[in-house]
Amino acid sequence: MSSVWETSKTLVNSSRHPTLAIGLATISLITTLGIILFSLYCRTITLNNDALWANLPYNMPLPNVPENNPLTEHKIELGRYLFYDERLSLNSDISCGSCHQQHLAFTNGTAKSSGTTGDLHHLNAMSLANVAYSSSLTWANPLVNSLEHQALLPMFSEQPVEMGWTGITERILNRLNQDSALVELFSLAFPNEKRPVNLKNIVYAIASFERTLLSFQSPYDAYMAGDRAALNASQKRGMALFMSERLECFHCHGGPTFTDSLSHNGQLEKRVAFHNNGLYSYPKTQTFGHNGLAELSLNESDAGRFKAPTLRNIEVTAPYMHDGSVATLEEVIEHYEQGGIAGFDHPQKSIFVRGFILTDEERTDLLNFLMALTDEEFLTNPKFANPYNS
Amino acid sequence: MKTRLTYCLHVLLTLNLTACKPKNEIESISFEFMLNDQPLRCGDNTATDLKINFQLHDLRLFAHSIQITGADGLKLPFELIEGGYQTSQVVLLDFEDGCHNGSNSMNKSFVGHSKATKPWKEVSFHVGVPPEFNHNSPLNAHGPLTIMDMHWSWQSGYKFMRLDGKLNGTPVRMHLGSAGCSQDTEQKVICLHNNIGELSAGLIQTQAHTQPQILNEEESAAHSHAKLRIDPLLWASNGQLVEDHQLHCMANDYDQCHALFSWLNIQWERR
Repeated sequence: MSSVWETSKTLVNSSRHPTLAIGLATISLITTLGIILFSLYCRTITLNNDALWANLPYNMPLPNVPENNPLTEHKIELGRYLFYDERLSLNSDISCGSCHQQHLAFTNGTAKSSGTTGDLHHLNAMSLANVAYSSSLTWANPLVNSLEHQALLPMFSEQPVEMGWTGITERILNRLNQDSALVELFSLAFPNEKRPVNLKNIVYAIASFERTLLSFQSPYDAYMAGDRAALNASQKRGMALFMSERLECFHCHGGPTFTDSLSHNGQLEKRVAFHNNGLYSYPKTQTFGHNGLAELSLNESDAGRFKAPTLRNIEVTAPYMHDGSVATLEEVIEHYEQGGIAGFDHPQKSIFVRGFILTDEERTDLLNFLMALTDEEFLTNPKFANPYNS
Repeated sequence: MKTRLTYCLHVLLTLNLTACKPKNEIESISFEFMLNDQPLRCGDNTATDLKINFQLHDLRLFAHSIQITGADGLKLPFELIEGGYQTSQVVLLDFEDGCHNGSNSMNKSFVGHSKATKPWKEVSFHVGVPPEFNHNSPLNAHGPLTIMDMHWSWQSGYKFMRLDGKLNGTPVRMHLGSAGCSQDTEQKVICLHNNIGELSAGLIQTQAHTQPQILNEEESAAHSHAKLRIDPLLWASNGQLVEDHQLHCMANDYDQCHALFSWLNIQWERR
């Protein structure tokens, strides 16, 4: 009541002083207009989180988003442009999207990708499906645990050269600064910054776009959401095999993202895991191009240990394994049936890679279940597509 | 009365001491790398009599914990002034002038203060970035710690030093940084091999050739100069050039990095 009283009192007093009343009314009008304009402005840059997360399964927790890089619609859009921008490589000939193609679930269909100077990468390009939920990025590096950090690896890698940024950061920034339309996108994404075209903002925008690459619209997801007809009988039998103690697949490829390296909001403990899956010789007669986690840890007991990649959209992400050495899904199943490559009994080989025997029908069922993890909406969603092609 | 007298004496003594305190002079220490007793330049460095050509592409290193040995033999810290290639804790020495890649700008000196007794005899420092902030994000860093050519993304730390070039046509890549790193349960990065090196060199008082970049025109600095020989990186103790595989060191293998580790006095514990 007192506030109403005070307001009324002010009005009574003002009425005795017309100039003061006009002044107060003007200030009030300007303030109100300011609030309205600011609200409209904020609406354009602040992400409607409900819309972004609308396609998540009902029981899926939200991914972690760094506090210093909150998601905004403008940042995501800028990130999409940058993800597909070939000017971000030394010779202006490759972009992130060259090695991470949408129709292949953001892999590139070859065993080893080629960088801007022709260097071949020593590992297979990983899928970006649901990377927002990855507790560690890349094949074997627990220290790279944010998309912001990960983006720096292809940009500045020198052995092999990927995007080739080392020594030419300013040159690339100058290229981008000459594109006024792109600079405008930077200004929208990072308002109030005098020089928004900088390395940090490029990385933050690309990471924001990548966080939106969610893939939870496969027949498997429909089945799990209650549509019992979404999987056929063979796929259901294949799912039972996949989840069985007999085959052990789910131990490493478990959970909603079909990998045991999972991070999400509200998690008590982040899960980061690496496995030697029998695709690594002992003694080390063949290196398969990479020493696994041991490259970083320098601990020989980590030799040949790699992250279990997501199996979502696995149908379109051939060739397989960390080195792209396995051409087909049938051969992948064969690899695990044999318990790894014969004679490669590395002492650190996962205890879950112990081999099993399948009938021909079971093998087909398992394969059919893996096909049910293909998310056509993810592979064709125009929000993830190359904006320079549209 | 006695208390008031004590107080007055105290104030007078403090004022007197402050007045007598010598002005903290700005000092700059410049460095020069030498090969075959010749200053090392970005580009070709040829010693015809030794039949070698070392083509330098890049030479940069981080330094911290700098100390000066004074005329009395006492070692005292050299405090860095913040600005340009320096923070208060670390400085980047840059001998790469864009001859092969990178930027044209260079930084061949430290600027700061030390209370070591003049004339100074020697400068010594650690090569590397202190472990307590080596693994922080370079995107939120400042000064030289934002220079991505010196960040080792997949190792999640900085390249403490890089020497790139060609020795008689054979690629030379010597990169130093922490190795064998992992995160503990509190997400803190710990490394089996911190690989922090040490260098020292005698100092000569001299005239500065150029005004240090972080000083304005009104500021002047006393100047000292130091020379560092890189010959041990390319020549083995038997007088022969080091073997080709030792010209490629990524700080994670003792055999490949033996020459670099020895030069920087890094004790590599085999595990």
